[in-house]
Amino acid sequence: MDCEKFAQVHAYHDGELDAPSRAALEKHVEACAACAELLAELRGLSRMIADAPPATMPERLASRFHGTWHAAAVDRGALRTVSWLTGAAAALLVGAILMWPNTRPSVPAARSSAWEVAAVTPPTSGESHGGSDEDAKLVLVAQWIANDLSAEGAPR
Amino acid sequence: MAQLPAGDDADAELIRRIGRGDEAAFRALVDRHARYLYGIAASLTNVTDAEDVVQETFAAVLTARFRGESAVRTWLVQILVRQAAMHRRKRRRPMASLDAGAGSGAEEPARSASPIAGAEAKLDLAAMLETLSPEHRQVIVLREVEQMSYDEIARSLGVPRGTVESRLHRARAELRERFKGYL
Repeated sequence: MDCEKFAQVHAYHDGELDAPSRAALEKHVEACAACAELLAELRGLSRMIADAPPATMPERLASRFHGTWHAAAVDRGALRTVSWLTGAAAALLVGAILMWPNTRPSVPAARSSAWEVAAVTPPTSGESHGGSDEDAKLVLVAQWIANDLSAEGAPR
Repeated sequence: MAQLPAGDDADAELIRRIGRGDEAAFRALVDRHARYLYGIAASLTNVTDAEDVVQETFAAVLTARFRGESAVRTWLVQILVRQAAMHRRKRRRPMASLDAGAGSGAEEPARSASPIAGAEAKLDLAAMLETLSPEHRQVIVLREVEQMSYDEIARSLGVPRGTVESRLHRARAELRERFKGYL
């Protein structure tokens, strides 16, 4: 049979309740058989665990544990060596990259097409901003574009 | 070796000397606590793994920092609990399950989970707890053996206090069931 106060019985047994809560629970346990039984079992269990002897350490282990000091020192030394070697390898790699001669062929800059130059060239001071000259220039640019595209698409 | 003060002060002094590279202080710390830690480790794992766990605990002492927030022995047990958990994960070996009666270690002497066996021959702590899951062993050991409060256990294990309480209740329920009639 369960009781809603079971969690408090555990807390009472473990000394986790404040004084008023302890007093209230003690009163409850006097009247609740389930809680009284639980408390008795928890006390019995704690007694049993307290009385249980711990596993006995074999004597040979003492020297093994003493040796941890030197094993850890060796580990620390190995770690320092690995760190040093890693740093040296990284420095060599960076140096090799920086010193390596640049043998790659240089890529010539792409030449702009005539129409691209014309399209971005602002009108000179002598040119009129009037409609007819501007139209003529647009026609010229359109022709360059057409010629340029047809030249790219032509079979070689 | 210089004469040591008794108890916690002596342990704290040893830790300080270990920090300064004093090997004799390390050996003294081992001599003072190894047996106790081994008993706890065997309860948390098994007698075979306990050897490794205690050694890893002492190795961790050489790099960990003692802040003086608890007794040195409590600090050592906290390290031990973490090392036991890490060791278990490394081994990736299932610990004794709730329905398994045999010991969990290959070289561990076979033990009976029968409560009758417990009545006839006094069980050691590791044998009593062997059927519990690792998480349940932890809370039982920290509460019943180490006498830690719920909050201290929660801090040691890095879990909420409510988790500690629920694990403790379940672990005790299993033990009460197993040893029913002998409590």
